[in-house]
Amino acid sequence: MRDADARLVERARAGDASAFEQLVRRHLRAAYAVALSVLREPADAEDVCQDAFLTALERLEECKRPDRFGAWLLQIVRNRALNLRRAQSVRSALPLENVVGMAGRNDTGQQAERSELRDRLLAAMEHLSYPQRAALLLHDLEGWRHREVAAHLGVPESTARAYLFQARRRLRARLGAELMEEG
Amino acid sequence: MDEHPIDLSPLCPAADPDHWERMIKAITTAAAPELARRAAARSVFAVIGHWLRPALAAGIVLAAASAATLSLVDREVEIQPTPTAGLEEALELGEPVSLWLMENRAPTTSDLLLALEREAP
Repeated sequence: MRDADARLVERARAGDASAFEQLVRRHLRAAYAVALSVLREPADAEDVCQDAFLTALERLEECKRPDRFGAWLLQIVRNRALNLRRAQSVRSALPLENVVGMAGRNDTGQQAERSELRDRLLAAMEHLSYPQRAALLLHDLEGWRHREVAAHLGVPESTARAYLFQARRRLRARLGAELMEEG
Repeated sequence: MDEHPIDLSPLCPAADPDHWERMIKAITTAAAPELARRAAARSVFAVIGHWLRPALAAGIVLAAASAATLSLVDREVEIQPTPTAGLEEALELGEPVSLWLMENRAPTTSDLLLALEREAP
């Protein structure tokens, strides 16, 4: 994986569009998970991912370890997401739960049900801290290992495990409470 | 510990393949100008690189040829006869004097007597 990344980065530096697309396909899911864990808004997470990939491409010579392109990219994603969140908090006083949802999509049937589930999950994740959300999304959505999550968060593996444990417990409690309220 | 993963698949952007492909397309389309710029820059370097080797080889050959020519010129200068022989002829000096000059020494008393004897009619 890392060797392949290094080769793809080398080709992308030379302007190879297919190599860059492969890098996008390899790392977009993780980038999205990190962005979503910061922003909690899918449309914003997508915008940040696009912005981060373009920034990464423009600064590709600054990537000192092409074999660790993924980790380098996720740092850019996180910084961009944090910048956007700061800008949003200055620009708008609207609480995030009021704008949850992907704008401009036609939801029908199964899509609508999926969309509702997504909105519930996002709303429940509002009550988690950033490291808890990141640990949860990277581990349970992206399938990262505990040590990989720990490396991304810059914490010991035991701490990353604790974040994940707390996130799952709090999320289940939130989602359970919602179901009980509906019942 | 709460070891059971939560199903977060509704949050997965790739769950809707069309939407996922649109996301990738949006990124690659936005990246196209930068990729084109990089490809063009690399092609300029490639052209320079293409001409660099022959130019270097020609330079090395020229340098070697120049060095060889210079060393031959130096050798020719070294083997040229000393102008002493020509000078003594130009001044029309007799044999004993030219001998002293060739041996680069001052004449002894006996040399001078010998010279005077030869000069005497």
